[in-house]
Amino acid sequence: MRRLVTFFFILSFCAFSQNKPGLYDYSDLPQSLMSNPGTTIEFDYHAGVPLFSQFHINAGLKGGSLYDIIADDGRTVDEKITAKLEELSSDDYLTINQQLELLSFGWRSKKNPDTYFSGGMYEEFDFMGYFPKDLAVLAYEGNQEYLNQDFSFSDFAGTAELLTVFHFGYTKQIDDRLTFGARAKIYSSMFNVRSTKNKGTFTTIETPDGNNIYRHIISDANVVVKTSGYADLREINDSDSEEKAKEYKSTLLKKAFLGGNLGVGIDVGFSYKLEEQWIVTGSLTDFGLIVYNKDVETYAASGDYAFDGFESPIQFTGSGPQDFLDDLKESLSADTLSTSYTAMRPLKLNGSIKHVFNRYDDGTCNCYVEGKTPPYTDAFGFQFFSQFRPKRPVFAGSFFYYKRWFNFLRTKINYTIDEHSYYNVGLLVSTHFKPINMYIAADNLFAYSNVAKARGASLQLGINVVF
Amino acid sequence: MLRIFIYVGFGAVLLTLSIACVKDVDADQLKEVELSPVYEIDFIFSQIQIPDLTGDVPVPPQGIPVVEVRDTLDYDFLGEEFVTENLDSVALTFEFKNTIQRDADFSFEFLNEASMRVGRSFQIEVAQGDGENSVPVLTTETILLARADLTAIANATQLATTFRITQVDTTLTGLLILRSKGTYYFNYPL
Repeated sequence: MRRLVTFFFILSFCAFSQNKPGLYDYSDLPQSLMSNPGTTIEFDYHAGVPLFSQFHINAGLKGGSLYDIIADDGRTVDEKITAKLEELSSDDYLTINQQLELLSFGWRSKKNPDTYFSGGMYEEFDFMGYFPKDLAVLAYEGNQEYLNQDFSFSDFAGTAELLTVFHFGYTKQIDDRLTFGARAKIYSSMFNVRSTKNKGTFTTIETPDGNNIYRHIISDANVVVKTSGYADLREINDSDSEEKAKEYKSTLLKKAFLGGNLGVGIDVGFSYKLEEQWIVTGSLTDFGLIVYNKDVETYAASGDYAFDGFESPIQFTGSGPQDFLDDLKESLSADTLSTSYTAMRPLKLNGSIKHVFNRYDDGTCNCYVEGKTPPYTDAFGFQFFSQFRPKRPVFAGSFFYYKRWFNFLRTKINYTIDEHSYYNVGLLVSTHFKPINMYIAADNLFAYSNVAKARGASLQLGINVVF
Repeated sequence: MLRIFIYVGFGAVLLTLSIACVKDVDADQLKEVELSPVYEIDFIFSQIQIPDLTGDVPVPPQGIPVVEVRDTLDYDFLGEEFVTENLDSVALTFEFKNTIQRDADFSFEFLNEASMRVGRSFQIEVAQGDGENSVPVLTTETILLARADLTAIANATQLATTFRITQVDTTLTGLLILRSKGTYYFNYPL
């Protein structure tokens, strides 16, 4: 037990980013099954109000905030941009994740009451873009102050995806201690663009003994941008026709309902009672991939190139007049391809350890439903989150306190440390009036006093019918 | 009582969201953001020896009064839309290292598709050198192409360069090296 607590505590020091800290292991809400299908739940049926059972948005900026650029502090905007450009690195990023639950339902098996089935459908938009530091410097300042220094193409990395997810899960209470769950998912991608693992450099070197004053070198370049669903969009944009736009909307709708690029994935998770009042949980979600083979366009450029300027008026090398752009294109073998590609979904890992206490089974509170086992009304613990991203995983860690004030009012407060902030306090409130339950959760509450300074924010809200 | 708890619960979060505000900022500054990158890019280069000038033609004892080498190359970079709209000025820096015992005239001009000159013609006098194996004589010159010059040559598609050397004879030795670069000053809103 002590070892486990130590393990989670150590994890907290390398934890920096978070997805839905309020909802994780919040077993009063069916949405907790989406981040851990092995959550121990007490209800027998649930149905989300279609389109309203969960709206989620999470945005985070590592390395800065809008305030750094538009602060009214007497400095010019150019001074602030220059300072920020100096400070940011290619490891900094912007991330946006949005989900809308379209359908959500679940029921306890009559034959086997230890088993709970759940399913549904949701739409998700996910964007992750790293700050292309070198390319930004090249665009903002040029190469004059950076002679003999490499501008790296590997700084250019990011992904964006719009998809629909169909899922069906199974949660089984194995015994008094262990609950296990799994969820199968089918992904239908409407739009995807990804560019990762680029490499190569552009350098302007001074050449005192060379043909010319400088030599501009593109070395070992390999830049690839893969897209699906973009070619159709571009065609409509180019044609600027309303009919085409309607056609695209219809195509997008088809793609949303299993007509897009398809993929499969699974979630697995568990809850385990170490002791009567100590519980550990863990989950792995979105372990899956999508095969992109429809409406695919890949742009690729690779190779080496060196430019000394134009040799004129005498070509002592004997070569004819150069055409700079043709030479460049030929050397870098720029291509547009239609070959299919496969990409993993961003895998997420969650885990928690919590201590539950205060079980008023003596009838001194109205905090549980008559006839049911009185629950513990308080819990505290630590949870961590990790998500695999194109360059490296991101992490977050939260300390939380759960309080069941009454049967109809429950809350969870969490303090999260992530890459965006060390001062992230979030709150989830859920009400449970008979079968109707409503919830709202927001993170980074202190940042709302001046949103411009916020480096991250997260919000979830929804309505369910739960029996 | 029930209502009180509803208010306390949702109110806590909703209040926080509702008091969300943005302060001590001036978003209008974003309209003022201008990018002013400066790019250093090689321009033209060449190396000239006397045999390059005379070719296979035998040089008469009295020499050749004037030898002129002219070349034209494709150069439509300045006509790109982004360049015409955002390039403020260009400083062309030339560096000549001469060991040939003659001075030389270097000139260049921009031509349109009909091979007619557009904008100004530029000329640089290159100081004479002291012969093969001597320390090269250095001539440097910077030509500034201001906005008006750039507008004048926006439809240029070719660059014509000319070297002109007088009184070329068989006694001449050495090498004339030309190296040059352009410093491009851009300025454009974000």
